[in-house]
Amino acid sequence: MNASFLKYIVPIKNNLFLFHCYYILQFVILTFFYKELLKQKWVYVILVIVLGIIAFQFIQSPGIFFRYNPLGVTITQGFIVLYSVLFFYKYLQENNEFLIINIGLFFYLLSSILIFASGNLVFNMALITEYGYHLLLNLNNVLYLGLQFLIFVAWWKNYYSKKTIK
Amino acid sequence: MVEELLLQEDYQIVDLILIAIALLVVMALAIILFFYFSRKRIIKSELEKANLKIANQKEVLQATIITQEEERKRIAQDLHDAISSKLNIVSLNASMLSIKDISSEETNKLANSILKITGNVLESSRKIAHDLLPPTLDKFGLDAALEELCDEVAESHIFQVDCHLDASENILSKDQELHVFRIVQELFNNSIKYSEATTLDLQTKIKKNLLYLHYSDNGKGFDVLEAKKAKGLGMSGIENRVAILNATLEIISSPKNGMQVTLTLTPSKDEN
Repeated sequence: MNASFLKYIVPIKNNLFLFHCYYILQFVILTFFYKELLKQKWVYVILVIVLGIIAFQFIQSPGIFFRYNPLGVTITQGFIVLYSVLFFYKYLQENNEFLIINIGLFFYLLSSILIFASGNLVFNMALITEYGYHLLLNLNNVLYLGLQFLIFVAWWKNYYSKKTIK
Repeated sequence: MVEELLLQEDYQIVDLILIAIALLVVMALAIILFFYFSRKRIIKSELEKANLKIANQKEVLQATIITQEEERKRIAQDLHDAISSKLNIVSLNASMLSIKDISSEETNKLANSILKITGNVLESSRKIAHDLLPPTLDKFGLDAALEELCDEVAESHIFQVDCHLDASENILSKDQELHVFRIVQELFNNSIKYSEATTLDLQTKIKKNLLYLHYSDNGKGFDVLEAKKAKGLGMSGIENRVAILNATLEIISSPKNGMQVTLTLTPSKDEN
């Protein structure tokens, strides 16, 4: 989000192409993460299908490279949310050290889908620098902070305290 | 004016988005809370189940220990009454024999008494060993041992014992034979102790690769449910053995109607 200095290096309209890196990389990495947790092979199939859909979108209309991609964000984050629900279900009876991180991911990804999906809508509005846009961005920041906090709590519980006991 | 209207529309859209996001947040929270509470409940019920299992195991263990102690007590008493005291007399007689000035008549008397007592001791030690583990079972199998048991009970002339053994031609493993024998022994014991019966009936037969053992008496009977609640040592011993055998046990009884027991068991002889 703070990569606006790129404007001065490369002659581009905005830094939204970084956003594509963000959600695609997020999807790929979290797919591998949940593959390890869920021990299911079919998540790879979904990975390939979703990447195919996004690639098809780019071929179809290269213009979205400099805009938000509501469909891509919704599909990728939606699948990760689905995985995290499956993870909740799988570990209903036992303990897992990733449970807290899973809560954070589920919470953040589900609630931020709309922020990103509505990106184009808000982006094109007259009030782009007005309170609405910034409010959405700040809301995203707050939610993301929540995720980071939960990851920190998980680390604290699983690793830090063990070290101090020994 | 138009611009202002447009701006207002934009604000409305932003408001709508904010409301939708808020709804999503609430939904996410609700789902997380749902999982959290169902998790708590499931873990609680699992814990209860585990505790129940542990309590059950403790009960079984306690019963086993009590039975063991009673058995030890019985053996100790038998040894003390039947063997130690008599050996004492033998040793006394022998020490009297070792006194030099003693007439040959007296020597003969003492020797005879020693001989008689030793015979007694031998007999009772054989009996004790037999009670602990009948050698017939080990040597001649379940049928012979059960028959012997029936004969022993019939010897008392209080009961009329009908024994129809038509099974177990070495189809049971040694362990199974022992458990079945102990169960029958316990059933006989119960009948003798409590039932006031006059006829006892024992049948074994094999049908479709299953061993059926029927036992019945014509005694005063009992309430099966209450007996299960009370769980005397004998009953719980039988149940434990049935569980070990992986067999099924059916007890039919009610006050004044005697008792019928059916044991169904799958023979397995792969162990030896």
